[in-house]
Amino acid sequence: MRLVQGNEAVAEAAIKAGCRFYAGYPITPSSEIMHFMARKLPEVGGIFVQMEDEIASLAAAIGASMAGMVSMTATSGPGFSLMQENIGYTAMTEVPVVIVNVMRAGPSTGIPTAPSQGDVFQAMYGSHGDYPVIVICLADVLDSYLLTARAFHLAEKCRTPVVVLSDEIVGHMRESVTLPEIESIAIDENGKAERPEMPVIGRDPDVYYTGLASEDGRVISDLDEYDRLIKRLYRKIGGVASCKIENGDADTILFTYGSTYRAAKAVIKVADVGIFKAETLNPFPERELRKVAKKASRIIVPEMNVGKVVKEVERVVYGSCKSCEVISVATHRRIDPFTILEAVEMAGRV
Amino acid sequence: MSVQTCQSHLLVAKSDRFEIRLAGRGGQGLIKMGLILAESAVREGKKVIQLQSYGSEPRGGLSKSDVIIGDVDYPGILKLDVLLSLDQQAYDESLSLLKLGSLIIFDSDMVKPKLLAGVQHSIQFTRIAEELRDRTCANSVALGYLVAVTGIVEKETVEEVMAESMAGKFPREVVEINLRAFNRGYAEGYARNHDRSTLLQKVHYMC
Repeated sequence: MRLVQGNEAVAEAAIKAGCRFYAGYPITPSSEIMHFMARKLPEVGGIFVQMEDEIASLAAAIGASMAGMVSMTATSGPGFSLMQENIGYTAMTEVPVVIVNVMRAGPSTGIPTAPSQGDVFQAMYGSHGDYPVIVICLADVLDSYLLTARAFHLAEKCRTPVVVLSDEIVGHMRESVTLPEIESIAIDENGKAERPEMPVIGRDPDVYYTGLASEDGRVISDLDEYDRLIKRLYRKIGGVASCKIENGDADTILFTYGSTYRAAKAVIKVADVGIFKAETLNPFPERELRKVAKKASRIIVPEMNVGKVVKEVERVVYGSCKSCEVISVATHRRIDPFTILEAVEMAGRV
Repeated sequence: MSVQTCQSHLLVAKSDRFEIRLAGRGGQGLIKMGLILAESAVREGKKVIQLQSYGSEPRGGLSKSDVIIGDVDYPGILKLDVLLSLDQQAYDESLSLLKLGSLIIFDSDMVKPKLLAGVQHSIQFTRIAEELRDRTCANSVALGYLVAVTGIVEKETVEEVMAESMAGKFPREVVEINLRAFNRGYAEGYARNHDRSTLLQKVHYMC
């Protein structure tokens, strides 16, 4: 057992999963990821670059990925806003890259550094156009390790951007954990992944990447073809939705994602509730949520924002099950077990 | 929360956890002490969560480091078992988080105590540190005292972690003075350990 910080676990998992390129610009509460990569990447023959801003950071990570490297960047809200254009670009060009956003209170500079879950919709829908992006939520230090590793594997498999959402609480907490071994993406001595199906700069002749809609190396403008392209992009991430359910037969279910999960874990000891822990927000774990909603009377959604993911929950639950009530617990303070307990008790009384 | 419900009390009562807050001003080195305490607990096989304040606090404002040992489901303070404070404002702001019958340790040169139900220990950490060398090692004196009165971790484990975490970053004499300061604090705490038995019971029950 070791004492490991959430951000350090993210960085450690990245290197173990095969990441050999990091480009970033420091910002609290994500900076420890960058510190770790600056120290450790050179030791494993990787490349670390501090860029001039977050636009360039993601651009560099995408470029490295086009050249065959497993690459990432990490930031917080203000930097994540700057990265939006390039997130669409990497989705359209189908280049694998992992982007970590350790959320803090926004908008704009907001409160450096208070925790928040305000960026969830931006992570899911931030860039323009219809594009697939996998969004993974980290609940604690072990998640930071295991799910970050999964993010890299999913990015490779689906050839798509993966956004890893952490927050100030998860990123900065230190916890006693035993970190298991994780599988690495196959990389050669130069730190490059094989990627036989992908054009790689420096390996293949005449590589041309463009943000224009294109299929099989041709730029397309036919809308039927475009429709097929976008639907194909979405199909790639179709099967990766992930969640964990505890005590799923309970009458009251706490729908959690990210750091609210651990507050719910304390509540489950004193109240007869179940926990639905969403590990991906995009794709949304709809099928599992529907199953839970059919048995439960109410689903409580605690989140550290104005109430965002609750809208997704309502869409899924009310679309299939009219008898289950969805209750939002939205606050900009930390979600502690007392806050959730109060909501559980109030709901029970009505 | 304004009104504490029955279940909230139950939640605190059912949690077998020991919550310690080290609070003071940025620069007093309490975050470092929190890290050493947490690392020591991990080495003894205990489950631990360590949290610290971020923001402008580490540069002169309020600074706090929370160490939770035992039942670590929720990564935050439910109710404090021990508050160690080297600053008045840090002391005042943490009072609402105290559990009934908790232990409060404070530097009597820095903090004017309030009338409370808990057990309060006043020690001149900073003055002791100045006797040893200068006030920069007051944090180590305080940690020594806390370890002695709570028995939450073994003295030897902390010494080992302290020496390791400072080696290479500070000159050897600085490491040595901090170890001496820790031992001096421990001796002070050991001499006043009449409250230790009750705290120890909880610690042993939990671990």
